[in-house]
Amino acid sequence: MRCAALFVLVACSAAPLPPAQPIAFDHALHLQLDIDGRRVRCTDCHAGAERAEHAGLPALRDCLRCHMRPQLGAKRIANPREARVRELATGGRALRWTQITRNPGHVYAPHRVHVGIAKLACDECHGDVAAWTRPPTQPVERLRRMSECIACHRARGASVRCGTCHR
Amino acid sequence: MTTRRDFLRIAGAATVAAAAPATAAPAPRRRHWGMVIDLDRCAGCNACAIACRQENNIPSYAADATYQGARPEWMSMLWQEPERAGALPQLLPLPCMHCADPPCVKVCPVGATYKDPDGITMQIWDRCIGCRYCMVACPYSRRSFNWSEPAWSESEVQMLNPDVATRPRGVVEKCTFCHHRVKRAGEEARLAGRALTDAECQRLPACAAACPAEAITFGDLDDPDSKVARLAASPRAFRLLEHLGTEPSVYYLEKDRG
Amino acid sequence: MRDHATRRTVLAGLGAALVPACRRAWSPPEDDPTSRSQIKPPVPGAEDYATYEERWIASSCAQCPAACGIRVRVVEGRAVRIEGNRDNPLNRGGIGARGLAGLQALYDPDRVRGPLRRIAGRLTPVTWDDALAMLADELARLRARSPERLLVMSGQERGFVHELVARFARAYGTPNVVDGSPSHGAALEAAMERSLGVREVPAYGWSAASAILSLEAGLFEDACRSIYFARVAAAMRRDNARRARLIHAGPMFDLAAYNADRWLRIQPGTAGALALGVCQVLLRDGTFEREPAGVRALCAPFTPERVAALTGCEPDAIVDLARELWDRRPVLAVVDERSLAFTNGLDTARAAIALSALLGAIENPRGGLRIAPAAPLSPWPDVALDAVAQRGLATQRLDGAGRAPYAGARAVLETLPDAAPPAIALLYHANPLFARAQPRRWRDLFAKVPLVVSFSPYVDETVAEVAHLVLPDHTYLERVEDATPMPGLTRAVAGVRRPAVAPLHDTRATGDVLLALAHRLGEPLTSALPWRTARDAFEERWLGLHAAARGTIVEPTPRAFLDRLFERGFWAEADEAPSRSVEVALPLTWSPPRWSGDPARFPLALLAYHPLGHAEGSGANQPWLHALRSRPGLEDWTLAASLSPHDAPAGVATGDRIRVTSAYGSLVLPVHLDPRLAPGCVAIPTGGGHTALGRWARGTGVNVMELLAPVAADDTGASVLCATRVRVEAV
Repeated sequence: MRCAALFVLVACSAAPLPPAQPIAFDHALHLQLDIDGRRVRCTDCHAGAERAEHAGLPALRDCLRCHMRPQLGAKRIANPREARVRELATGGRALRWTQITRNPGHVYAPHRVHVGIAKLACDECHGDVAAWTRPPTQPVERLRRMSECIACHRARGASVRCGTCHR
Repeated sequence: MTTRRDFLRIAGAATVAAAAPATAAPAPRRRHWGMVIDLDRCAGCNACAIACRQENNIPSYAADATYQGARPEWMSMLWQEPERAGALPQLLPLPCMHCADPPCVKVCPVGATYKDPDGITMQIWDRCIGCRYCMVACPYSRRSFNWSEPAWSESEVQMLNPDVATRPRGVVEKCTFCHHRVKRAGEEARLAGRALTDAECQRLPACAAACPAEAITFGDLDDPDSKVARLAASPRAFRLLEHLGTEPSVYYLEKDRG
Repeated sequence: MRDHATRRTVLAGLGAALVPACRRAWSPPEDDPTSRSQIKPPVPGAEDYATYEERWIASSCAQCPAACGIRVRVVEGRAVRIEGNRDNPLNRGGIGARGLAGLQALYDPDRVRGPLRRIAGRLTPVTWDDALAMLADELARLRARSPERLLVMSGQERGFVHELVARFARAYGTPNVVDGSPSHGAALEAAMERSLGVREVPAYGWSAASAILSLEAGLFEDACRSIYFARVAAAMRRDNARRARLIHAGPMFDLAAYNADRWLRIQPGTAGALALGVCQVLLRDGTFEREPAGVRALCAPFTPERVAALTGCEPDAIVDLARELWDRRPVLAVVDERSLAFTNGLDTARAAIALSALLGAIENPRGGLRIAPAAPLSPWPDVALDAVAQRGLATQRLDGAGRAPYAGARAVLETLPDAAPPAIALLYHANPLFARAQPRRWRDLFAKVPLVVSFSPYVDETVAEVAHLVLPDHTYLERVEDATPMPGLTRAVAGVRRPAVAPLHDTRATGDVLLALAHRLGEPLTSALPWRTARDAFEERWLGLHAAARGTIVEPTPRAFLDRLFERGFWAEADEAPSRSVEVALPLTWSPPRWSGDPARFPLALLAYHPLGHAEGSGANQPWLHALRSRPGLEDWTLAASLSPHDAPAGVATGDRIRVTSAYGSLVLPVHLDPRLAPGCVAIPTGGGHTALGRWARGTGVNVMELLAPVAADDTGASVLCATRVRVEAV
């Protein structure tokens, strides 16, 4: 059993560490909130999700739309993650996310087509985002391999010609 | 991640299977993308060739590199000397001809080049194994090979166009009719719930957009109302090496030396 | 026994469970060498960009004086595309090779990254504070002694920063402001002033014109309006009701000759004789629209036979040309920098104006030569001069401009190396150790100047060899300024530039540096340049456009106007300028070009020309500009000498190397035998032979300026590119 434990330890240490993010953003919390009288939408922060190639990750100004003033929440307690947003702003620093879901340079998988035209819901590809309390550390299974793309394209009758998705 | 090596291992049946078009859901009308280059408007300024380099991340090699005559080039400016003594030379901007019956597609052993149903002769960098049969087959010599690994300094890498992948050593490359721009324009039109209009297509590729003389027109040759179809029907229109039966999609309009 | 088997089973089971988990562990795509994720270094100053965010910035090109409107596509704070602005009436979306190469000018890996000072012979980084303090100190001390010993060389001819530079010099008290660029418009401006009373290069109307006569003009090549002319010529040929004819007269088969419907090969520098020959035929036949006083007497000697002897044309060709131009009027008779690159440039320009007058093509609303309309910019207040400045400005200029033999010159370059060396030299957009005739004269001059300051963003030859202080400017994609275009259209356009990206390096806009220096120097410079930033100074000028309340931008408040101006990248007049009546005064004479050098020892005329993509010669650090093909048979990246087979030494073939020798020096370079080139000439392009300017400028041939005689034209003082005789030998 000791050998087995050692084997497991060695194997796990070979896996990459989860990447650090400047703010440990809680999707689950934010997706339950309202803004401007309506439920928060993915495009409030991922502005390109319907019309652009990439959904994009928010700039600091997107966070500051709400968090310029402390948002204390139901428990009336200041959240250190939330204060970090203002700290970055007053320090004039950038919000540099570590991008987890990134296609290689030769892949063209535009949100414009998948979300804007084919009207896929975000969680169909990205998984159960509403359950994420911390930022993802890996891309979801669905988005890791070309075979996943091809399988879904075949199932829905979308083009599987090389030039459609490669550039 | 499916690497090129993985692909080659299962090349056989999978090549054929993957290259066959899937049964398509209702899609926009099929087009025949083509180009008309009016030699009577062309001033010879070379802007088209440079716009193509900028758009497609074509690497530059220095003057003293051992790369004579083999630098990657997609849109070339060819000076054709006349046969008749005393006549004047002709300058031809030469993109890929996107032949309707392309010799290059027939010889590619791995399906890295194929005919898109919309008329563009596609070149897929990631499938290419660098055998260069297509370069031998092309009668217009429109294909370039990456003899070296392209490299950009840390500063120059900033200006690379994110819409076009860079190609590694060992890959053949050529003009794509700015397929990435065509895709984006088509998607944006569909998103807006309308068809792509001819006016949006006329200066869509980088070369056509840059040309100060508006000598290069792009569009759907099968659309009788398009500018490119109208120009291609002009009495001044001709194509290169027509006797070979390649059916190029690029038409030239004769320089009118009247 | 049972224990053993259990452990092995457990291990096997664990192994079997772990192996798939390890294979499926995620690794970032950039670890895969085939992925080519194009991961780019972070961009300081782009913090406000979201990931993948794309913005389009309207601005104006600065790669040549045409100032075409551009749009820059910026993704995540990086400029990834420059394209033409379709709304700008100058270029209507077109853009040239140089405009496109602007990205390479911005991202040149060998740019100067911050202020430099020469310490113990080496250019060493210093802070802006140290650099400015040191320069201000030296300027203050010089001003107390003799401010006229400040020399300012500005490579621009127009634009607000150029005006700020001149303003600084004036308030400082030095008359020695010299235009450092190859005499762009000097001869043509002077011709316009003497003939039509307006000191500016002409604009051209073409709405109903059906012929362009190019008198040795570098149309489509190095002409500063090449992009504008490419559009105009194409539209005149294919879009006008009557297809226009392009007739080019010149010694080389260049792009103008290629595009021409008829190419008249003439000896270099004789286009003025051709123009006067055509005038003589028009007068003789009674076919002319106006007859300026004295034109008959002037043209009488230029019979077809005499002109044929001067130019090498057939007499019939001249008569046919006259008839054709009369038939197709109004006509654009175009001369430009290349036409006037000879000692008789001023006379050639005035001959072209005389021809336009006879054809009724001056200020004709249907087409022809037009006086360039000016945009209604507000002026800056006059500079108040103190006693020191007045004394300094009263001294004689070092370059001799304004005195015989350069009485009509604003500035003369070629005389400076022989003048008394200044104490301080400021060089803005000027690289005389490469771009001027006989670079060693300039090396010798600056070796005697105790403080040489360059604002160049690149380590050019002048910076590398003689500069003591470098205060690097932003490139044009990083700064705010005006883009006053070289005249072309018959309606005024005022372009602007604004940063497409945050400055890449620790550079500063030269306009701001001048204001900082003025502030440190105190009065009267602080009053002459009272603005906090250069942008404030420029906005004062642009508000004249707002006050005019017309054109493409009309807004109720100044702030709204300026916002719209920057959004769109330019302001333009709504209508064409109305034509006005002008008196035409004529030249007294026309003479053939003079060539320096003994014809017995140097039998060939050296045609140094600026090739396509050259504009002002600073593009050698942009590799795309080395791949331009503007002549049949000439390979990119190699600068060859073109020679007629008649003049080639025996046994020399295309590709061989030849030695070209003038009275000043000797160069070895490849030859290209061109049967189309006029006999008696050797044509060599400029721009090659850099010894500095970064990695891309290496290995680019030889510098023809080392062969040139340093000649300034009489009267205008313009630097003459083609006045040198050479001989050619096999190597």
